[in-house]
Amino acid sequence: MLKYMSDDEDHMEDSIKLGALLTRAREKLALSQKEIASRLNLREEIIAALDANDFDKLPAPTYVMGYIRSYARTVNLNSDTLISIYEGIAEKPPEILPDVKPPVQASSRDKPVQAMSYLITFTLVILLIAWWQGQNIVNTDFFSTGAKTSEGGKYPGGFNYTYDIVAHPGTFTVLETDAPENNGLKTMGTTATPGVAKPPGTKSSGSLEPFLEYSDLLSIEDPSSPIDFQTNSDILKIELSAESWIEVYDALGKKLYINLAKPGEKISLTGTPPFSVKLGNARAVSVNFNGKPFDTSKHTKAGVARFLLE
Amino acid sequence: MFNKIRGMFSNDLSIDLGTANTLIYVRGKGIVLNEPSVVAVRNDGHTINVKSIMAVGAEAKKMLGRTPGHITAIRPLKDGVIADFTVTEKMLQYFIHQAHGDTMFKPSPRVLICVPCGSTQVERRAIRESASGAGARKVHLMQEPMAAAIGAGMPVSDAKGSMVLDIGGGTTEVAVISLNGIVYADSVRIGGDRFDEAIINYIRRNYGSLIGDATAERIKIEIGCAYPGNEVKEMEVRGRNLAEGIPRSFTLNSNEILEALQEPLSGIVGTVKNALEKTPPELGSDVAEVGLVLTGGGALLRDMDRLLMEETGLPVIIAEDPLTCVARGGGRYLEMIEEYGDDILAVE
Repeated sequence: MLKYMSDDEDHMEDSIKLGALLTRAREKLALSQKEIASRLNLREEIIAALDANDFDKLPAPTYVMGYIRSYARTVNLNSDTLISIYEGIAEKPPEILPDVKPPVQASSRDKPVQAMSYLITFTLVILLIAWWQGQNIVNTDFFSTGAKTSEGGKYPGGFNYTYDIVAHPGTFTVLETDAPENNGLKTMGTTATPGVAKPPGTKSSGSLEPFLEYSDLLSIEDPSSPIDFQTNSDILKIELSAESWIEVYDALGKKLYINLAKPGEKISLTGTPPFSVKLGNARAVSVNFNGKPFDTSKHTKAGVARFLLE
Repeated sequence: MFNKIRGMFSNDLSIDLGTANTLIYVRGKGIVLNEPSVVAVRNDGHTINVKSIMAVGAEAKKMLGRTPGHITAIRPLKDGVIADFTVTEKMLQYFIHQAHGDTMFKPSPRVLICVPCGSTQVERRAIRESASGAGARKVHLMQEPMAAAIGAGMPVSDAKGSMVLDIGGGTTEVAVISLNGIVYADSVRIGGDRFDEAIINYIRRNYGSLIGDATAERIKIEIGCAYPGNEVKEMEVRGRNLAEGIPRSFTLNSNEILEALQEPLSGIVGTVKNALEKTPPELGSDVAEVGLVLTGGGALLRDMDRLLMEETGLPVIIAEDPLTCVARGGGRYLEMIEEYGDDILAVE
């Protein structure tokens, strides 16, 4: 039997040999596929597949090796030889695949999520700082513009200048005392320095009247202004007997004054007419436009006056 | 932290801590150790109990039943679980060291140990702790039939029933596996040791002679069979005659051994039949089509497959190299841990 097998080994391809060997040995014993199948408790198809070398129809290699062993033993063949033939053509043992798991939900503990939230927070903080810085720069511009105006008179924002002083009379006074001469380099000081035309003594008195005159002077003193609205600027004077919210816009929509004015305060504004005025407490406010008193009562509704001055 | 560094110098091990033999599979190297789970302990002090390990493994096995008073050869595992905690720990330590070879650091490997599916939490904890005590960095426990199925190359991940019967030294495990999980598993405390015991009892009863465990095992390996075959083998055995008290020699044949083994064998067949009865029908039909795979040392008993084939009517297949299936399966799982992460299969 062994000799006969080794003869076969030389002649046949491995894959064909296995089935052929089994078939030949089975036929030699005059056994049918069905008889073998019933002896091995296998289906007849499996025996047929083994005989035909149709390994695709057979289960995993472990099982096939077992079938070959039992089959070989039944037909008195050396099972080890057959197994070694089969091992040459067998597929790899089946892969063990990990269990299917539901997709992991993102949680706040996940690294990417954490990184993302840090990034967003950081960006927000950066943006906030940038915005705040921007605000500061705008404010500084405001002052420096005034300073330029007063120093070189190249950009006469007369109204701005006046507004600043009126809004911070205290600061002004203090600064003025700190730097009595016209050499102050501080922003506020510089703002104050154009007082070439005004006597320092008047300023220190704290009265607002001279500034108003000064602003008149300034507007008149700067005829070289490249911006032509300066030429037809009007003066709006507001006096308060009680606290009132005041909003004044000029023709270009520029804010001339937006603030809660205190009683006894006198506000003088210059700009391009028409002025759009809103008085929160119209009864306590007297308005003087270009030297003429203006009657607000016509425009007053529920204490609030809204009108346009031309 | 230090453990992690030590772990970098250690290989992952898969250990089949069996009642009869302990096998160690090293990832990337294969089976590196296959030794009997026997430890010889020398009792040093006369007044106080000072014990030291004298031999472990094959060397200790030779001493089984042949020891003088101050030496005891112990099998620290019984029925698949730890019977002597300290000795098991020492034995594992020795084996892990053996498997590792000489390294500069004390080995601190990640260890996977296969446990019988019928073991209790206490028994598992004992195994886990003895492995940690033996120097393991991390201990995974895996159910033996699962490891056996993977080691045998069965398609455990498929949605198809695969039935495996692992006959070990202390226990016999049967399981039906599908989709990486055990659908049904049962474990009986019948195994190679019970076969030996049955042979000893048979010879005492029928020959009035006493033989030792080692002789019984030799008889089982040489002429033991599970199903009446055409060939009858004979063997000459010497045992102490109980009546005369003198060692006598007598001849045993395989049919006698078959008769002796009837009781434990019917226990195993009963377990398999019970498992088939409790398997869901869909999986049962899968098993009936492809067959039942036998692993473990018990599969080497002659005609074991024939017996099960006749009793159950199923095709029965003996896995290639059935002794090492469990350790190889565990090793394959360790490889998968590396590839897919920690929790691919339901292990502890």
